[in-house]
Amino acid sequence: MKVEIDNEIIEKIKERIKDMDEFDSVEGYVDYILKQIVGRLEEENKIKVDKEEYSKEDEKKVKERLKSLGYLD
Amino acid sequence: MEKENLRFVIVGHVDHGKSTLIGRLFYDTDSLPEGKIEEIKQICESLGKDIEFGYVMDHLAEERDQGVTIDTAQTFFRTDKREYTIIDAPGHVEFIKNMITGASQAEAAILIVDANEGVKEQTRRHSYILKMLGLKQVIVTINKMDLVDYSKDRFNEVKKELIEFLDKLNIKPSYIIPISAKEGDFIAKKTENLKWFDGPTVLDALDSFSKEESLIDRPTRFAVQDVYKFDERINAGMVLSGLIKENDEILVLPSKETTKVKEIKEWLKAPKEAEAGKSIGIVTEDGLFLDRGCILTHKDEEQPKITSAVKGHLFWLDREPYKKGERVLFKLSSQEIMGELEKIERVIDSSTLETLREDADEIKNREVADVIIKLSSDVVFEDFNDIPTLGRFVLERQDTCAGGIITEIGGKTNVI
Amino acid sequence: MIVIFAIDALEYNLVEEFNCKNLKQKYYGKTDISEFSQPRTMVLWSSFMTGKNKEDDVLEDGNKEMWNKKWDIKETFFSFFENPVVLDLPGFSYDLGFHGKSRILLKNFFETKNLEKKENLKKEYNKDAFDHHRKIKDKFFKALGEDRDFVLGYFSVADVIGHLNFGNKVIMKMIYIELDEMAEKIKKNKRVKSLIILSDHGMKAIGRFGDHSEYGFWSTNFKDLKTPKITEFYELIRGIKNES
Repeated sequence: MKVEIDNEIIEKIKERIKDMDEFDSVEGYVDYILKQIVGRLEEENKIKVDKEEYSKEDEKKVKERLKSLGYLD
Repeated sequence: MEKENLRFVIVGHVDHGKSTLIGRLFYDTDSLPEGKIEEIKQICESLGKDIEFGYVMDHLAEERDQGVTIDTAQTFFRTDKREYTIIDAPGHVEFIKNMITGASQAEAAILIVDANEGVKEQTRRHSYILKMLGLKQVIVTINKMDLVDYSKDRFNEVKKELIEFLDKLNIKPSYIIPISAKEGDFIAKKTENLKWFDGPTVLDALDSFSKEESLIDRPTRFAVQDVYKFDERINAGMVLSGLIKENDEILVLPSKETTKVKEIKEWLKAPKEAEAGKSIGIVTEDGLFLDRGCILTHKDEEQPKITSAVKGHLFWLDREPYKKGERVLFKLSSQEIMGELEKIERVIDSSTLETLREDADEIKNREVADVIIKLSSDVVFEDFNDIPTLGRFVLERQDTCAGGIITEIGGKTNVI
Repeated sequence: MIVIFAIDALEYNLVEEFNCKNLKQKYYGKTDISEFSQPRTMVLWSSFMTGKNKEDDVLEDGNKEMWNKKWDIKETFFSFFENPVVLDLPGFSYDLGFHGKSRILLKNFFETKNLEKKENLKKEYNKDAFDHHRKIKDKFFKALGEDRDFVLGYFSVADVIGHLNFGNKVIMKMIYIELDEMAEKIKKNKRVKSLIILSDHGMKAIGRFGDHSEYGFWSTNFKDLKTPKITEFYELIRGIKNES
């Protein structure tokens, strides 16, 4: 996929990575940063999914309890 | 384009309607998630009650606890002009600690008073805190006007009593507005109930405030908060005032060493300069050893004061009284120095402002005192009215127990 | 007048958390219901009003039938009084229509997989619970305005709402504040001499749902009961009646 980035930003990134060994190109740096963000979003999503899973577990548990308390048969 | 954001705090007696006012501000500016307000409304109706905006606060507190994703900004409510953030003031101590250590700077305040109950002790104490924090943009709201039949006479009565007290503290509120947070009078809308009042609504009043005056025109002060060692030493901190630039000649206080700014570091940027309010990292040319607590200034500018004894005005917040001679931790900006209260010149009741004791042996909870603090080493400070972050301090034992401002030098002075 | 404000599932910890001063009265604490195998509503209120452990009797025809159980007034402490009013109490004057419908909605909620249908069922379930609460509340305060020697109002809103919404602190707080305001109103009534506030059991969270906890809540304006058994109220009330 092609993405357009403002020249001003490119220059700032070039300055930034000038003395950094890990990145030898603007593309490499941008790729890294985006992966970080996506990774974090996935973490958050996972927590969200975990929460939903958890909720199904809860529902199962409370259903059992309500049966033994006589609310459900 | 990013909208401007103004941070303000609401203070006042706990029963005078703070929660309802906040709920109302959100509701009247359509700043609430739709489903939630409907839910609260329905339950109130089912219980045969009018909608209680206080419950909105509880909902918001819950939402806040659930966190935000990295690319969503957390704003509270908004008008056409700007976004507003209400600073939580859960209890005295946390509030003062955050304000004084600069963790959550408010730029304005709303002081809320119940029209029916009038000015209470807590109202006066909160006014005192506002004075100590130097907040100049203050709206006073006289709430629950619905309970006093929207009476102009009652409004004026409460207004007079409050102004008399605020005058003694030298606080001049920008506006004094009659409101009913419950009924929605004069929060966002001018209503018939208060047609005798020709001032602005609370939202109009907030919109009229300006963002805190920039300290960029003051002499430069940079507080070192942390030092990171990578292949070079990065001194991280905050520009408290002025402007710091690459190649600046720097004086380090209180040690009086000199150095030069080699580089300024900021996330994803390599700025050549940074102005007041910015959090940055500074790399010095010679790798000079700096510490948390160092204050950097420009060699050729007006210098701050340095002393090991200060006179201060403080508000004691701990249930355990302070006994003269006890050692406490004195914190001013990023500086942390052990000290003791050498003299308690005067103890004042924060709600009546009367002098309780002179040359006292202790300070009790909620008392204000004029004191002389002796420190184990020098502290760098400024006049609170010029550069507030260098004029306010907190005292700590295990927790914050007092907040205060420096009024003058208390003993030996070290002027550069 | 002796008044009992019977609140199903009133949870001690939430009374503390929301600082319900009026529900706490002068003396308050937890009840001991450890003698029962499960904190079942019907069993507990039956034991309360008869002064005896009625678990076996209530359960003898099975879980489903237990809601239909009804005690003769002669077996209960209501018989001590001349013109008692007992509103909606399980095992005595229970509104089978409303509570039956409530349980059907609950069943449908758990059986349906469609999320939208679930939300709608919950809304209907909640609305019914609040509407019923208002109905009983009106009757209760009407009775308190009459020349009576004993009034008991049974309020199920905390239990019914709690089962599907206990994790929603905002709703629960609204309910507890409402109950606290009711307690304040009862207190102000000059006819009321002795007030007992009591729950059969409390509530604890399972995610956003609520389960019964293993203790109830009590409070009085006249005596510290320490950790009473729910069967001890029978003799306590007889004592108060005889004193007056």
